Amino acid sequence: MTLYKAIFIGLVDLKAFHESLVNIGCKPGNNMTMDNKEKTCVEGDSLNVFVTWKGAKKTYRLDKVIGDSNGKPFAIRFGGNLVNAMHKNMTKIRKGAPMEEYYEKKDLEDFENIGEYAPILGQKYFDYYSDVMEVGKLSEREKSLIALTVAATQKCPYCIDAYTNKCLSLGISREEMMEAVHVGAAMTAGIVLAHSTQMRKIIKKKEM
Amino acid sequence: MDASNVISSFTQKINEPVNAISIEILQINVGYRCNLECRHCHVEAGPQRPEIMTRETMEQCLKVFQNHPIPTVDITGGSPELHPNFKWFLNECVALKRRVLVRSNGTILLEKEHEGLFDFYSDNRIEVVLSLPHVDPRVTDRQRGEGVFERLIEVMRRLNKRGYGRDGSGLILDLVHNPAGAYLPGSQTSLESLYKEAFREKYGLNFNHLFCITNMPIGRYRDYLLRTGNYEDYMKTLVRAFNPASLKGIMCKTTVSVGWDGMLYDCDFNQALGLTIDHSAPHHISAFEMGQLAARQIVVGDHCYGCTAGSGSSCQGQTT
Repeated sequence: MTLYKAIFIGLVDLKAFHESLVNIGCKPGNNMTMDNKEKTCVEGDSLNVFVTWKGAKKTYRLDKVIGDSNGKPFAIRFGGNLVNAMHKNMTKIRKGAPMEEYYEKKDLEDFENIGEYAPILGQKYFDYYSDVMEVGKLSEREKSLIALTVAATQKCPYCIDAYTNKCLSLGISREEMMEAVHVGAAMTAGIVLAHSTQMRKIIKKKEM
Repeated sequence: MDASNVISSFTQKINEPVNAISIEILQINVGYRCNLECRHCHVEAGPQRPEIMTRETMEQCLKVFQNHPIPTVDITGGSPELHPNFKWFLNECVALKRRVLVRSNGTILLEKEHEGLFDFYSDNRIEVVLSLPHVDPRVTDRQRGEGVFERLIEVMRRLNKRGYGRDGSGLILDLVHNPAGAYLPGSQTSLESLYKEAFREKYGLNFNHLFCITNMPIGRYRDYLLRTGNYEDYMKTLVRAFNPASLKGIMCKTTVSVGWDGMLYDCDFNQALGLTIDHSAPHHISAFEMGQLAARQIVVGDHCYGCTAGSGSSCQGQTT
């Protein structure tokens, strides 16, 4: 078995990079598959690849920092195959990290289905939620900041996503949001410290 | 990225065609030249854009108003003030005795050769619509360019001095909010309160209405979404927020948009995408025919999710 080790890694998001290339008019090859990889060459537009790193004095052509053992210059092409590549990466991640299925962003879209298996109770919850979030004595902004704070203290990624977006939509500044989260943090710290009362009571009772 | 990879098509979503019901507004885009290059601009206006409406096309627009009782002239761009025949055109529009409004980027009015427009606007009771994305200067400047917020404050001050935004003056100053990022606008009522309080308290300034406009996933904004990896999430958010009730009030039902070259569109967004009016209705101002256009079938695409998300969005703000 041959082992390969990466010399360079790209820190860019795979999909975003693919889309950026398409966006500037590059054509992906999309011709190579796992089945034909031995018999075909990657097609797609040629790319000039440059590298740089922290402390480098300039940007270098790839040929200047690494050579191919066959002595020929690199011919880098925009291979494409985005769907396959992403699938491959996701498979790797899944194999390596079985917890990946928890807290997926797309799970937020499932929230509207939480009434499944208990539709009447589910509907009651949604009605209650929607009444509570209506403008009342408190404004929409105030309620959203409270919701964001609770989301952070309860460490719910779905709610943090939903209410950060909601706060942005309502024109709430990043400073206001952060201040609200600090209220949550201070409250949480206080709650923890208040429980030291139990500890101190026991200490006082038990120690000679 | 093709939107069809991430969402179901708008045509499928709405089931039946959208038809116009009348023409209340003729929105005229006099060209894409602008002194700013805002990051959300759907027509990608800027100082280098050469597209400009000819005087002949402007005359054709005026003729349409003379022949038909369309109540509102809505002038937009680019920066309409940069059109060499702008003042002449505006005078002619005023003579039509209709409601005339100009969508201004604001900052242009502070430039020496355009300063006279403050009086011209107020003397002729032109409605002014200013793009002002946020009450926070940093957020507005991030979207529209360094120092824009401060200049807009000065513009509002000068307009307020002439009576704009003051109750009972009849001089209308409206502001436009749109999100400075990959999220949807909040409720118009809530944001209008925020704006009113902030401008009154911090700057002593007034305005009439705030229009909340959802950013369309086209033009520079689409590029931004793609570049930052937000496109898919934004499109899905728009689709999730699809509100069938918003279809009732969408602006294309009562508006015809005229491009700088006289081509007709169902809205300014279709114009940016080059989607002219279709379905056998005339698509050039020279062939304007009220009967056909007022009941035409609207050309829709996946960008239409932008106008139908949440409370709905239009050039006149929320639609529900």
